Amino acid sequence: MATSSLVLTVLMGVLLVAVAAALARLEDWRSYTPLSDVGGALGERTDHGHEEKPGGIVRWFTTVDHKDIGILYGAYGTLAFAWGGLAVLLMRTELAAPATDVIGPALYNGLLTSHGITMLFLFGTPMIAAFGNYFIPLLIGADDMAFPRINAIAFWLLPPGALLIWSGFMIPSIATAQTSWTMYTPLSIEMASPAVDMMLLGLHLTGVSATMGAINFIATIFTERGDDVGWPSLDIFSWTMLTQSGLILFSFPLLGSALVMLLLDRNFGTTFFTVSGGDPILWQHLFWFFGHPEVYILVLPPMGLVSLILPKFSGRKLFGFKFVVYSTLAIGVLSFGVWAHHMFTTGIDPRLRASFMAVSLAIAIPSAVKVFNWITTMWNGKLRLTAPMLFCIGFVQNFIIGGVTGVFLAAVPVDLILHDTYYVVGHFHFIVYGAIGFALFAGTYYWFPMFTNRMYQKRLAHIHFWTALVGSNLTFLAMLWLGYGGMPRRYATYLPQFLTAHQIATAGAFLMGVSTLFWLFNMVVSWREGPRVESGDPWNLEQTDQFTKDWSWYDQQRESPVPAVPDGGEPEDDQAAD
Amino acid sequence: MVEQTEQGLSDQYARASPWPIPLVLGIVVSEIGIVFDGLLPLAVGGLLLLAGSVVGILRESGFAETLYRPAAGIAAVFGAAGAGLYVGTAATARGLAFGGTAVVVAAAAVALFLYETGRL
Repeated sequence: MATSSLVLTVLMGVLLVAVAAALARLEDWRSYTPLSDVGGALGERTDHGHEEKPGGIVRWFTTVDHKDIGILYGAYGTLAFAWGGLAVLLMRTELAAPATDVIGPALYNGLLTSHGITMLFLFGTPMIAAFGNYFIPLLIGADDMAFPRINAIAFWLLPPGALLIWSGFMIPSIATAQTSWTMYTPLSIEMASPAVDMMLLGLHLTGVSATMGAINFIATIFTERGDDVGWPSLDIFSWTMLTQSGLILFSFPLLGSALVMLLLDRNFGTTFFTVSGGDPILWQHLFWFFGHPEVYILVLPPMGLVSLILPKFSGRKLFGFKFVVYSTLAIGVLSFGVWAHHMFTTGIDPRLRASFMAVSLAIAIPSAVKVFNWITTMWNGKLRLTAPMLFCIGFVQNFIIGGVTGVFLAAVPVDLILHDTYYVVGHFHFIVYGAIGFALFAGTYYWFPMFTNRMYQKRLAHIHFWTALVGSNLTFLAMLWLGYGGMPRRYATYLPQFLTAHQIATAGAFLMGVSTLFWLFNMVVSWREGPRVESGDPWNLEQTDQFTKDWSWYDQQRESPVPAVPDGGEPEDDQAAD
Repeated sequence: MVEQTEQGLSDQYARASPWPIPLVLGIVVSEIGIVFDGLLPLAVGGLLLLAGSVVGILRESGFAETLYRPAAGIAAVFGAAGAGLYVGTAATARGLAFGGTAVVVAAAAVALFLYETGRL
């Protein structure tokens, strides 16, 4: 004990000295000291900051620029997507046959937990933040986010958060966290592995990060808008990010508190959620009071992306813009009144169940308003089936299936039958991959010319779309079918009667894996050597009077005397090449 | 250019700051050190890193005009947290970690006060 403490002390000392040395190398500490002439020293300092960013790797570790941080979020989200995707491919491989043939139940449970938490907290939320960071300031005519340093802190909290969440897989001597992403008590209290504590800490950090980001988005949209951007002319993506940030502000601190209570139960002998002395159901209430708004935290900005991108390729402005904004706000408010629909089978008071059923069903109304507005935007429009447009249409299709299955689940009698079956899994995967994932892909294609100065390869993008669409529908429709058959969730094994549907689901999952490879290859290769964009309006938006502020910023960048450097890329010398 | 190279990173570049990563490391290391048993050196080191980074980033971004004032504030907060933990709970070792860090930060605040007011 004494020796290990000594070793830790020495290691900490080394870390502190290393950090201090790195800081001393980068920063002139004396410039912080006002000495006697406070005003003079400060006045002098402000004259120097005329260059934007340092070069090389230092740029990425010290940047507070919203576009750089957006790219960091994007790279991080992509890595997390790969981890979560590989986890699920291993699980689907195991599920290709009824018995445990490939991986054991313990590893399956660990992967299941990791897949859920990774996709929601480490891929979904950060990937949305990537788009928000890069494009919100451009769309609203701001110079940067309101709090650039907090922006950087919020991002850098994520990598240690991910390492902690994945630690069970990285430290061979401890068991992985096998609580599922919902971390239901008492299981999550009684699971002895320190990986659970580390996962809780990691989740806490990502929650702090999301809250910091949300405060930043709210402050930015309220205070940093350009003079010509009033509330009526605020774009739809910013509206959804604003609503989402409000939801984060009210729900993530609650998750943080509940996680700390769970940590206290595990490590310090408290009894918040214990069976004797506490109430395991309390955890479910607290978790879902966060967890259901989290669903809308994840889906509202992608809806905003679709509302922004889909009209651009329909040749018409968004139909019923005002009502799309109202429906966003309505969903935001209603999302806090539906949490107990996750708990219909826990034995809660039937009168409570009825009221939560009513509010849950009511959410179908604003959601349908959006769907009908997207359809009417396309109706009689001049559709251009580019890759971002295809993904938007795919979003609408998958969202309809995911949404309608959700309406069934919101009804108490149906939920009592289908609760904890694959039907639920199919339902929410239509939303989280079929809708959210598709909208994020649409965003990467739509803005690809802006952040790389190059165009992606169209054929690869279209192959990506069709394989993703077919793959997702194969897998998730098979899951709905499995659910109707009574196949329970979260099992590594199953009865032989479910074999066909499981095999279809596995085939679809691998198709989605392949489709993502097309996307990744396209992004990397086209960023390096795609054809250069010829104008500041690569999508011909001016024709239909939809040339938004982000593109006019891009256009100005291209025409400025300093040659446009692709953000996040290396400075290019061969501007005339190609 | 010569003058520029003598400047610190955040003086030269408008859109760069060296503080976010140290600050995050401080949060992460101190959280791990406080939650897990037997990792008190991590708690103390993490809290020190956190204190230093908060002071640094406040001063760099202009939210504070001196280094000693935020340092003294953090020492007071850590001291109160340490005293609360030590007296009010069974987590005495964690209380000591907070208290010990508070003493170090307070000493640093005094040194910074003397330095910044030209007395040192």
